[in-house]
Amino acid sequence: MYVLIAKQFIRSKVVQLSLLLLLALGIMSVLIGKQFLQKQERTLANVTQHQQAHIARNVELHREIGLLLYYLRFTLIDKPDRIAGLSIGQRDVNPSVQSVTIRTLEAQLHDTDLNNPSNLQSGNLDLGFVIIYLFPLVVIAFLFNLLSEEKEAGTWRLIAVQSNSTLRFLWMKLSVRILLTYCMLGGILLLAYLILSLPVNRQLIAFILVAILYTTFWFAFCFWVVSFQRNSSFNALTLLSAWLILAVLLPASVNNYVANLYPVPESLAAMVKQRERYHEKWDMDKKITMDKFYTHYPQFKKYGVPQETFNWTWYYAMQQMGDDESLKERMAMRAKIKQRENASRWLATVIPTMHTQLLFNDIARTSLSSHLQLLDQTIEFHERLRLYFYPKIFENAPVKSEDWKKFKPEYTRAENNINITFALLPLFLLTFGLASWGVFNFRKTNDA
Amino acid sequence: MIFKIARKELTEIVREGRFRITAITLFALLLAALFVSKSYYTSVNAQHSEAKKNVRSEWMEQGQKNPHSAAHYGTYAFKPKYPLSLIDNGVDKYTGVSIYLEAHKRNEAQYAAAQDQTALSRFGDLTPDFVLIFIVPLFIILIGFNAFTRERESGTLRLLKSQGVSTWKLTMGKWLGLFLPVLFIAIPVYVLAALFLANIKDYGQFSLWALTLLFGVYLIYYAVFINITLFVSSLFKKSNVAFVTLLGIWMVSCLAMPKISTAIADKLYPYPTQVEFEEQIAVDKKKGLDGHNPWNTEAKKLEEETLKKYGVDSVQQLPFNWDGFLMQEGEKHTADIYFKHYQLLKDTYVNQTNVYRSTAALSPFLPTRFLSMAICRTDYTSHWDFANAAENYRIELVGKMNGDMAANSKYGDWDYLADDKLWSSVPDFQYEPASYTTVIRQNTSNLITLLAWLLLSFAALYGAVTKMKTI
Amino acid sequence: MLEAKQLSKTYQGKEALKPTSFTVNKGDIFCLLGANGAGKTTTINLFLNFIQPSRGQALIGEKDVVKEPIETKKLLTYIPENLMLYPNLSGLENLEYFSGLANKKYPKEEFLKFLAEAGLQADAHDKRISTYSKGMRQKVGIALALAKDAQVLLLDEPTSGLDPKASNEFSELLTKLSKKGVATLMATHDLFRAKETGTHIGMMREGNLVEQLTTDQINHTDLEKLYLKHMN
Repeated sequence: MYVLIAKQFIRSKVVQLSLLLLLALGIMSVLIGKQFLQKQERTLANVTQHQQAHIARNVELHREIGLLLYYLRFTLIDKPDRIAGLSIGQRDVNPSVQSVTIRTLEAQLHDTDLNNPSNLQSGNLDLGFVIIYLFPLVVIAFLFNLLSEEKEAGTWRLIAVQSNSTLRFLWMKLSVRILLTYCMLGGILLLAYLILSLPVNRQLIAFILVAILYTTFWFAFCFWVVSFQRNSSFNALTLLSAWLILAVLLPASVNNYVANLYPVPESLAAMVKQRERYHEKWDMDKKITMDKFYTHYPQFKKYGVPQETFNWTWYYAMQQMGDDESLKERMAMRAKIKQRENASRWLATVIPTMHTQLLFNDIARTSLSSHLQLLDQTIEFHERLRLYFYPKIFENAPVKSEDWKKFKPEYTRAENNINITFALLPLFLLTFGLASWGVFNFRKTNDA
Repeated sequence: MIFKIARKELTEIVREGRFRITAITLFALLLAALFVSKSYYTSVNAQHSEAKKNVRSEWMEQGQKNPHSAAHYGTYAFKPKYPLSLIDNGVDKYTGVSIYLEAHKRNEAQYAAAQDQTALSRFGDLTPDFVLIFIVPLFIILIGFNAFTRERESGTLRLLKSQGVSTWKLTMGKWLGLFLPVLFIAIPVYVLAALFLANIKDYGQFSLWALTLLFGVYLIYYAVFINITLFVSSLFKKSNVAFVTLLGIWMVSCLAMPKISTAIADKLYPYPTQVEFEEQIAVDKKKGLDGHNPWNTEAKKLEEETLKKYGVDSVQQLPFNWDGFLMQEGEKHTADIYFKHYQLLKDTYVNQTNVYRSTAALSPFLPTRFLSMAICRTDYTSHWDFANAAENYRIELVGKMNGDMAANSKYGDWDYLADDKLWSSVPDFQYEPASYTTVIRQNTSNLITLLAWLLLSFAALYGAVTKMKTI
Repeated sequence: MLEAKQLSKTYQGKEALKPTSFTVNKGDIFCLLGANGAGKTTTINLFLNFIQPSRGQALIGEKDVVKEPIETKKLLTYIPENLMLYPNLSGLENLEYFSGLANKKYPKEEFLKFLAEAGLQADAHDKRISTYSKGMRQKVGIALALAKDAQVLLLDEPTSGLDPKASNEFSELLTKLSKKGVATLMATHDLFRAKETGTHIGMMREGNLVEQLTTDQINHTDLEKLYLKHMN
């Protein structure tokens, strides 16, 4: 019986066509993921190599440690996991490598990687995209006429007479479709596992779980719509509209809504303000700057207020003040971005497409919050460098006294502490609710 | 005859609930998009004009200062806002809209809005261009997928043919029957947009001609989708199959193809990484003249040559301030390096653009997307043009500062101060965008591709319907 | 008016219609009888040029339907077994539309007259087709023939599924048209109606036209006997 249903299903041109298209795009997405990982690896290799050359060259060129540190860049890397190839998220906009000098940090935090913005605009065809956008379309194509095709072809009456339970018959049809879709998903994931050489860890398992549950949600949703027993075109239109709303319109609207709710004008304002404050210090009495600096770092008080026209202690104090004085704006902006993130997340819990996208990014550590964490770690890293170099600059230690070779790029890891069970709950509840409602609808008409 | 068929198609479409629901949704979406654009306009404009005013007044009121310090202090160049950018915001979200101009350094535009947004922003923005080039094709498919299949399924096609109507006339009637509803949506949007854009203040010069051109491009694009829809509908027996096929075509051409072309472009012509790029510039800079370091080998060489040229023994005897002159020479050298490296970057970008242009043959979405951005002046080419103008302005500004220092102060006299007179002699940054003739010339290939899509899809439709079987 | 000359159709080596010749003159009602798959619909489709003959010719008004598809269609009206019209348009609108396609223009009253002449009750004229019964739709088909001033009627089992009264009304309309000189070719299973309405009868079996006779040559019982003889 199952074999016959499967045969009848797979022989349909539409099914073959959609499976072929899905497979092609799935493979392509995995290859694109690989390309992304390769590019990232190239960047990291470059960074490591360049940092050494860069430090060596500058150490040769400059005799003053103050001037040398004006130029020296130190690198902090948050290496993307292999699984980032499955869900590239914001990693293409936000760099995984932060390269900073010990001067004012503010502007350095906003450096982006070089990119063709047209590429960013079209976005990435990663596996996450294929699962979130394309799988539902295939599920819709498989299910929209689950029952109506029988009614329209006139076979339904025959089935109703022949089989003991029409619900059982539908379940058989449904399970063939579900099985085939899972096989497809499993196949593509297996390919991804092989091509991207993904490590089997909690992240991968979480990713697979989310992918399966998300696909199941679409099955439940389609089943629910089908359970109202309307004709094929009605179902097709309804399901397609639902897809359009869930996958395209709602995310776009929520994004616009949230961006409007928490506008972030502070970036530009903070930058302009900081320039103003920094430059006015050049003409200010040095004592004012130094006093402020020593309030922040009392341990350096012993270096006093310099008298000469130019002095590195004073220069770095000015740089430090650039950060200290824009701290408020920076915090305000960070708070707004956090609010955006939280508002989006909260709204996303009831919108499966968005929820899944955010979950994928969280799992693959490619979300905005991962980037914000990296920024926080960069701030810490920068502070550590400052505290290490300040006394050396203030004492004008000879350049050669420092072992510059030890400054290799540092690695960090922005951890996402997601409770996967809790994160899956909304998806699970929706799926379960819709499926039960659908079964209820069928039972009702069956009895009548 | 064709009009009669079109009228009947229209009556049918309007009487069916489908059209009413989709049309209302589409209007609601467009209104929402217009509203989003408007609030975006208000906030950006407020920020922009405030920052712009501040930046200029800060420059004018920076008080007495050494000219070179003023060059370090620098200023900002703001990308002008174009009214049409409210329809298609293009890549502005990813490029940023202001560039910091300072001595010795060419900066990239900063504060791309996309950086501060969650991954949701990648689902797209609810902007008019999103609705106009992404959703409207779906609308066309939705009302037209069963144009032929329905007649076939219900048997009216046989009756039609028995009445002796030529299939091509029938097809043209159906074509009009789809095109008119599209016009019914597009024309009010066009009129609304024209009224709205002509009446907003401080947002650049609005050109009705450009808006008309933009809508012309959109209409050609819609015509292509109508052709494809009718073509597919004439090919299949069942509406469901035609629908699923059309959906697949839409998905591939509007969703997948742009992403696939991006991957191909990135694969064939990868961008250098930021680190690589900066390192190469740093290496080149170090090789040459350093304006702030008189002991630098290149600087020494220049000093000898200059002394010889003026027939004096020391830099103090020169008729100008050697420091100012040296710094300007250094500046020129750096500017050349930046020019060289940015040229390389531009080559990569041009190559990538060419990849997009060739993949446009596979999706009508791509040429339309690029034409739309180009007409709205929010494509990457416009951004380059602006960045180049800003760089030229920077070179001019820094040159003026160094020149003033060289001409009006003595060597070693870092206490020389210039005032408002010098600041005001630097004109405000004015940027004249490329003319529309240039824009169209740059996009000839996109235009040709789109027209080729139109002609070929018409030809395919003609071929399909004339061979179409009645039973 | 209608003439088949050695008309035949082969589908992938299988002969759906073997070389067949017959003529339907003005005022004739030629009824094609035969089992399902005997080639009746194929013959009608050939006259409609929906399919092209493998050999031979189908002539309408002495014109070859393949060579002059548009000219020959001007002469005919076609009513299939289940005349499907646009469900969202009213009977009147459908009539106007299909007549318009055939380049026939009349004022509205004229169209209403045709509908009335075809026996459609006046209160249904402005109702949508989706509310019509099958008999009512077939009447719109007749109105179509009237409006087109058709010389030829091609009917593919037009009365199957109609109740006896509707079927009778339909036959009366056919007779009325034939008196105006319309040549009718009708495929049917209804021996009784064929004898009552038809002027000529052709029996088909496996693509062969095995018998041709005029209805006044034979009575009901003999017709049935003859039919069963050919079918077995």
